[in-house]
Amino acid sequence: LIGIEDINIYIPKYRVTNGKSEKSVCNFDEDCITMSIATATSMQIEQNSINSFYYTTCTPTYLEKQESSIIASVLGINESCSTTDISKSLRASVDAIIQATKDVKLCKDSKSIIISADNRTVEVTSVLDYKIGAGAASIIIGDSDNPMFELLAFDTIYNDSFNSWKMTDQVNTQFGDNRYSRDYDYVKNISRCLESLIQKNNIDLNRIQKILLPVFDKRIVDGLVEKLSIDKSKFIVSDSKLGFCGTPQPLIDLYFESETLYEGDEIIMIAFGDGCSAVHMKVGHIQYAKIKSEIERLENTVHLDFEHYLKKIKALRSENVESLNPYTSTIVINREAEMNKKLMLQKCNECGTFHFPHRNICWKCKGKNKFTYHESSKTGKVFTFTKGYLFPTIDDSTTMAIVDLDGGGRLAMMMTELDGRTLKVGDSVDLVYRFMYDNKGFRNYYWKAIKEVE
Amino acid sequence: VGISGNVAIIGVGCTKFGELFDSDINKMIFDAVEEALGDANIDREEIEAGWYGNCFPTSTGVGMSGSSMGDPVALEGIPITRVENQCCTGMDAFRNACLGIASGEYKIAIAVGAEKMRDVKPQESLNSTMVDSFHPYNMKGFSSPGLFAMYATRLFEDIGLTKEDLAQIAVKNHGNATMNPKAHLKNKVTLSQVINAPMVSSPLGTIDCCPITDGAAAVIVTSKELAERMGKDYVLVQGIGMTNSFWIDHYAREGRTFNEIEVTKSAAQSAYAQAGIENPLEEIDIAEVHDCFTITEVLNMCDLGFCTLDDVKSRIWDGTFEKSGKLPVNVSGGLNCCGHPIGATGIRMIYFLTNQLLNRSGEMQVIGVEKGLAHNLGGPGSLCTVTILEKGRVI
Repeated sequence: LIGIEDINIYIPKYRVTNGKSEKSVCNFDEDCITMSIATATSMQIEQNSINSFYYTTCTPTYLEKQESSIIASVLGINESCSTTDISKSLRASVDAIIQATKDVKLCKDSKSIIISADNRTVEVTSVLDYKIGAGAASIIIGDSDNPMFELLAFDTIYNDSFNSWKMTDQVNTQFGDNRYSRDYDYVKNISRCLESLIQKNNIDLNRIQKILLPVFDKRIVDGLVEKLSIDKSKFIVSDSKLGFCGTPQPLIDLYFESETLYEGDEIIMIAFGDGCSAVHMKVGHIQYAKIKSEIERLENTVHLDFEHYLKKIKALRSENVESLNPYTSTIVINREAEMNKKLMLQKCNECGTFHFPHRNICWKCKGKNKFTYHESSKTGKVFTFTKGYLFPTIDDSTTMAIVDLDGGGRLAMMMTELDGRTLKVGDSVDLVYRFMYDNKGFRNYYWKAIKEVE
Repeated sequence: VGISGNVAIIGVGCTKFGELFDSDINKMIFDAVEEALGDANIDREEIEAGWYGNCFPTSTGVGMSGSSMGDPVALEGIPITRVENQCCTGMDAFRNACLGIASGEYKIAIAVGAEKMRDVKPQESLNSTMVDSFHPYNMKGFSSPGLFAMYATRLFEDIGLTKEDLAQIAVKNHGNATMNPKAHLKNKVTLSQVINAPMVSSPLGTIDCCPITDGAAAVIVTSKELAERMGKDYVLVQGIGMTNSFWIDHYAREGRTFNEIEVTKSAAQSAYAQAGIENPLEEIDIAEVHDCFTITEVLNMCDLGFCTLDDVKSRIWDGTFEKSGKLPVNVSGGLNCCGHPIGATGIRMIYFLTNQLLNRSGEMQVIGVEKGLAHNLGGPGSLCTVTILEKGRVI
């Protein structure tokens, strides 16, 4: 059965609210690439069985550079995997499911991974600002006896209209006429797509328990109910506490909703944007405990005041930070990509000492050329630390720590997202992939430590 | 022939350390060298070789070679080598000059250290090198105080060291500096002021840290025999130990306890062996140690064998290292108050101890000093130079 075998989401921990709406906000060192890696790292990825990888976003870091390659290289996916960026449409995640399903059908025993992320910004203080959030989701599609969601049928239509868009020189997403979008365009396109899906595949609507509708305006449902004569209670709209997270939103909705689904349920997941795509699925084996604990973990949020919100989205200028001119080099980065992207520790086979960065001779036993390389654990404990105020940062300070990694090895690294929490020697940390700074016209990513939630 | 007991210091010079906005580095070098030449009472033509300690050439390029020391003082036609060895730069230049004499290759040599750090804002000086240099990712985010603050956090955990203990070191050094006309900072501070000063890199506040400073110093060395024949006051070099360890990329390497700076121990061991010192607390009369941050002085005291991790807290408070104590440490005010113009610091220490050993330090003079120790530490514990000086002849 071809279906979704695993699913995970990543939502930044920061929230901002205007009292009426609430949304998730990326930290200043996060982007779609880092969120994508965060969402995928906790999935069981069989790196060599992944045959295709689709990365979908409307907010890429690069206009010319394949971001699926960046993500795949950090995740360690085999290099013969087909990597594709699908961008520019908010329905791209469901379109990627359609493509991935074809891939899995074509290639026996293969799997496909889809990662979707968006960090859309809207003009600060505009009415929509608090409704557009950030997040990421990832799924693995494969052919197995009992997937989480068996993929039964798809349909898609395209439509050239102006609901939301962003030109290359625009910072924020632009929105068209609200009522036109809500009452006309959404209803028209979603209805057409749903009708087509149902008719072509002889779907019995009575068997459909839920239709996941990734929209932030519940009033769209009314138009659909009127047009399609479907029970209103079947439509599930997005969680308003995250804001509308863009491309990954259908998958985020699926993740949250999976807690309430039972084996054998049938659902339809919709994605809207320059048309509409829909997928008909049958619920299989859901790992409720895992999803429940992940959802509980997502409740660890930090609400930002307006000043810190502006800092996180870098809307406050800082000449101190803008003067930052760290040494960086594309050649060094490429040469050390394997070591730095996966944090590959070098172990001396003679005395067992771990080295990072790599060396040509063990400092301890002077052994040469007797090294093995091990991907580091991404958890550890703080050996010592300092909170520094000299390194230019958009944050209030920069905490640096020496971390003893679980399983051996030690790293000196930057910490992130302490948010005023006390740090102590011995505290447990996780390593997260973030960007350090933009310089020389490109983005510099590396690992940082983040204090575990107590 | 080794250095120990064979090399004599016959002249020293030092500019005032501070924010020398009116002086360029050439003027600073000129002033230090002229003072040393006058002190040695020799002509510049008698100098046969020079070593120039400069860690960071200015953005105008001054400091990139030996010529940038020789030219401003019209020392031409002799070999001058630029030495750069992190914060040990100055004392390593001095070590090279001593080796030049000990080898018999040169009769008289000069070591000069200079650093112009305040032609730019403090943040754009040493701190910017931590931002603008080094590996693109590894260690990015550290500042110099941050690298030493890691030791402090660990010692707070391991031996119960406190911010008050660190503050007492700053109080002592600031008190000493009030007597030093060449110190950058000459203000007394209270415990409360140090503890409540703005944080730089926790737990180190501004007064725990040495300031960003301009300065130059020079020392002229010759053989003991020649010094005797010249009929001059001199100080004998009894030992120089220098060792190195990790480069900054491997600062956090496995096994480091951050309770010690290994290179200080090994450099001291080497210097003590050369000078025949077995019990430094009893045998050393005065010490200038590398207190770039107050925590560094704590580590130095232990690593040099003046005390142990078990009794360092009590030693900080019982007056052992005060000017009137058993082993006065940083009577000059140390780096904490003199500042740390990197290439100059090691030679500034030699300058200061020479004057002490020759009993010409005015109100700073410690009575009855015969043996002095100078300790210069490079990087976040990457390399160290320990020099033992002994009173030679005083006419």
